[in-house]
Amino acid sequence: MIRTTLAGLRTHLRRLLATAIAVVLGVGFVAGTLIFTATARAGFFDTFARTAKNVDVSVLAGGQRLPLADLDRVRALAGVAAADGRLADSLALLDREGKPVTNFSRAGYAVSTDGDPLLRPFDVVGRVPAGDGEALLDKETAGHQHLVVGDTITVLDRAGARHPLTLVGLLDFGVSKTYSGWSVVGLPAARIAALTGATGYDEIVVRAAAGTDPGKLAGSVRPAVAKGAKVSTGDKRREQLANDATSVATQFSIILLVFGAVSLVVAVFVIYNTFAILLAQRVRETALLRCVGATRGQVFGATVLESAVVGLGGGFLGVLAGVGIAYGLFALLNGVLNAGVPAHSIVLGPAPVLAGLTLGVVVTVLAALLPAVRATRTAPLAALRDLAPLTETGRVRRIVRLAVAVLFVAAGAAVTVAGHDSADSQAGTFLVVAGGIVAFLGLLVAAPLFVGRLTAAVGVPVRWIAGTPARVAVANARRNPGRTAATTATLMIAIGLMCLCAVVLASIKATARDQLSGHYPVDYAVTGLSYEDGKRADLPPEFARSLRARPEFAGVAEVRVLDVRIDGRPARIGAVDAAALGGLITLDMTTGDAGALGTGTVIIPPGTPQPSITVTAGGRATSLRVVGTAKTTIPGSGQLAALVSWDQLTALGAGPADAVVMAKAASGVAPTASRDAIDAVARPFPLAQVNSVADLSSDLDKAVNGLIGLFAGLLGTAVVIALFGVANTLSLSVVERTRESATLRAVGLTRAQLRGTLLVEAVLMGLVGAVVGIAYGMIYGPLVVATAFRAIDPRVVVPWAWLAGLMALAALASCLAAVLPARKAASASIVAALADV
Amino acid sequence: MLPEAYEDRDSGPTTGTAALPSVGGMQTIVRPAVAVTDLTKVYGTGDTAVRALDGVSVTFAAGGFTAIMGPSGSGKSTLMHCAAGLDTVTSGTVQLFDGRGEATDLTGLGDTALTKLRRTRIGFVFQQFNLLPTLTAAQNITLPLELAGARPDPEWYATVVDVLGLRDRLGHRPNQLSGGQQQRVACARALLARPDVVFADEPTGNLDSKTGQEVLDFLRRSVAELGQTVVMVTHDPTAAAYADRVVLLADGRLVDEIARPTADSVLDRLKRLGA
Ligand SMILES: Nc1ncnc2c1ncn2[C@@H]1O[C@H](COP(=O)(O)OP(=O)(O)OP(=O)(O)O)[C@@H](O)[C@H]1O
Ligand SMILES: [Mg+2]
Repeated sequence: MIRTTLAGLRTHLRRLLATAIAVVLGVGFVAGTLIFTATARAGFFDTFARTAKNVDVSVLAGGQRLPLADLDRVRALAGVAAADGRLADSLALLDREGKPVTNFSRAGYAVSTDGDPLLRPFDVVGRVPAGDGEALLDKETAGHQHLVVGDTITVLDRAGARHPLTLVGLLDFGVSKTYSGWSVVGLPAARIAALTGATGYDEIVVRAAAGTDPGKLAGSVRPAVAKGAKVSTGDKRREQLANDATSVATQFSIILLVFGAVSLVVAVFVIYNTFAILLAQRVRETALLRCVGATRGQVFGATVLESAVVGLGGGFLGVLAGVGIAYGLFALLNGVLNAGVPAHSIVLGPAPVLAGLTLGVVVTVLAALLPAVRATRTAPLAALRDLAPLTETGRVRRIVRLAVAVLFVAAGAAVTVAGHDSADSQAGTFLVVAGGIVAFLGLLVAAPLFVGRLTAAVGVPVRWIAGTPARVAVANARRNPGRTAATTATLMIAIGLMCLCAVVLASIKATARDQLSGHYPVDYAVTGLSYEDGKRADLPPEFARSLRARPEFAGVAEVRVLDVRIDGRPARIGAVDAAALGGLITLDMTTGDAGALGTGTVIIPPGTPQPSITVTAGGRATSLRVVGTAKTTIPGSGQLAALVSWDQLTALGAGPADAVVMAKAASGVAPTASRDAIDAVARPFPLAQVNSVADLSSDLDKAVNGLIGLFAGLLGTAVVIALFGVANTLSLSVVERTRESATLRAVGLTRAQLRGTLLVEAVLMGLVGAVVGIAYGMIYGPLVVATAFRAIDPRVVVPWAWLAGLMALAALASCLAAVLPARKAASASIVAALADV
Repeated sequence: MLPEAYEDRDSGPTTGTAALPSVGGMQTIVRPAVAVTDLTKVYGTGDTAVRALDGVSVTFAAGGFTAIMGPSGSGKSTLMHCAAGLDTVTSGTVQLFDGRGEATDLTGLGDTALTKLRRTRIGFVFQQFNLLPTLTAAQNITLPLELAGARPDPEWYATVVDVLGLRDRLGHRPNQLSGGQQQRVACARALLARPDVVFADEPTGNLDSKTGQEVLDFLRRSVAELGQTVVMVTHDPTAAAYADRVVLLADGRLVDEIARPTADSVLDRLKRLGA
């Protein structure tokens, strides 16, 4: 029996090719993710090992920085060879044009350089700064700013004052990506404290004297440092850093594995379909084997063996493909998302190899199980029948199928509704997604029931265009609903997910754009420079004053914010200056009247109606009466928890500094002229970041389009597998219909028309998959958006252009998938094909 | 050998079609439907080359019912395929004549032109019926005309359907029909466009003798009553007796011809051929 199976495998190898490719792609994605994770982990490990080099005891700051005195106390301890305080904080470095060097609109860093050379987390080329006027700069920034040792650099303190420093050396962080992309200035800790206001240390690192046990030393360090600080040995610290690294890498890999799972599910459908069709075609062969004495078990075993061999081969190639995919993931994450995954040579451990091979075999065998069971039911007599009757599914089975499908869809819908209505947005989103998956399963179960009718419906316009050949194609696509359903299911999954992602991302984009401009008619939103901890530099009121003096601007509005507690919870409230409110800035009131805003009153976002709120600022609680609800989104500062009047904000304790200054260009002033004017006003204020609303929204568009592209890329594998499935089904059908095609050719179907019927059949399958997928995405996309972003009152947007593109892509790609089978069918000689049994 | 063929000239068909008038008699000068001249067909090259047809010249008269007979492998199917433009020829010509006697040389036509010509000018009946399983009987019947973008003449359609007794089977799919019914659908498909010639390759090969006779009766009637031209390949002398002329092939050559064949005369001649 084994010999028969292997001989069969050899002859059917070409027909199993598509299956093997599906396995390779599915396994490749998963193996690639695992290889990527292992490699990234190794890279992170190296990075963090450098950070804790030579460290025997580490003291990490808890909530607050470690006081300066702690370092002196640690240094005084017995068994300490050396101890150093490490301090890092945001510090803006100016480029040659006097503007801050930023990355993702954020200022760079300063790190402390004093202390024991052996304990530094970086190497120094040159010498460390000796006095207040000297500094180091990281190699990369020095490179792209064209700075060399001896040059002068300028940094900004928190008030925006410039400080020139002489470059005395360069910082080399090696493979560490901790500060990758940001400028890093090396300064003595005291100097950093003076410039940024940061006092104390983030970490104190200790090198033990020879013969001192790090564990014991850690014990003696603990009482010497502030409460809340985390004291650990160097080894522990390194282990913990490695674990942190692992969690970073694991986050990526979990997301990637979800996509890998999608690819595998799609692959399962393709494999299942191939075996189902192959075995249906081989009924005669199987029956003959049964005739000559093969038992059911042997028939079953033969199919399982065959699938296991294909799965093993596919799994092996998949692991190889995984290495390539791992490289691709590095490029994708670092290139598109700027994830800063450290570079490392590919780590190919036994785990991904074993996982790949196992997955290949298990997935393929599982997918082939049902067809194999069906094959065992072949009666020996079937060998004697001429043509297999057209598959007509029994009424009872159809009803059972329908019942199961309805059950799934109903359960899914119930869970979805529960999620959508639940108070907790995060748990709700999870429920919506879970319900969505269950409902989708129901859809897949029901697919054989509706796919025929849907094909006919989609085929109506196609028939108009392509006439009789299209009618033949529609009939062919409908003849075996199970097969068509399994083939299109792959596209339903892939395109459904793509559509869902597109709807969610387009809605996020639209919502974010609302947040950006807040519907206000402004052209510029000037903010202070952002620092690492989410804090921002303030803008001195002189900036707004100078801006008002310029004739290029028709209106200028100042926005001030204050961090407070509302009803006990931390929140940020804001106010717009009195002159602009009601003029340049008109609040979009949902209820109430903006005119009623004054002392003792407040406007809150719509949602939970409240008669009043209690605002606690500077230890003082103030009760404010709610006079209306409105969207409280302000360009440049996002959504605020509440809006109060200008005077009320001052009364609550806000200082005379603006968070955002908005400006509207006067009519007739060209965008370039207004931009030049605002840049000129901003020049004396190096901390001011001028953003045009147009720039911001085009940046946003770019970012979101990038994300859509990324998801499309990740789901692309699934789509490619699905298309192999379409090609596979078609080419197997072509084999099956050899004589029919010849008859059609004999009675007058031209070669081109025969090719046409197959292309049309493929397009129909593509469109059916796309229609169902898109319909699903259009239902679940908005549900996910509405649930996940309920807090910010999201705008749901259906990206029609994208969806039309998706539809066209599905049609075009399936057409492409049909090219080879169509050519094969058309090139067959009529006479030879007529003789085919 | 040939002169003997003419001895049987007066022996009419022995089966139930005797009442039908004979249009294919040898005395009448008739218009040709298909003329094959010096046809040679070689399969393969070199050592493995098979000369399936070796200089065959034969004319099938319009309105005639011709049977092609001969031992297995003698080239009957090949001749039919070449004459019907389904296969290319190695050398020689195949001319198809329309109702006005105008000839088209099939060997000079490209694939698309040949295909278009087959839609309306040539009909086929196969041993395996070869109906499209996805189409109903009615759709199968009208398929060639639909491909040609033409509408069937309703009266003619009704006649064909009624003569073949398919009226109450039109909505059925082939797998819901018996073999005989399927073959009658195939006959209707072949005749609906009123082609210049209908080729049938062993149309009764897969049928029992009763249903086979029904199909043969119909072919006979279509020739006698409807003026159709039919060329049929068969192994069965009884079937050949329905024709008004039998041509015999052996080793790719035309070796004999029987006019007004009877089952006995055909059997006799075949025996002499050594088949
Ligand atoms: N495609 C082909 N390639 C090679 N040789 C072929 C091919 N088709 C037919 N032949 C050969 O040509 C010869 C004639 O074949 P053909 O099918 O015409 O015979 P036939 O008279 O129809 O036989 P039968 O009564 O068995 O159907 C045979 O020797 C056959 O082997
Ligand atoms: Mg033959």
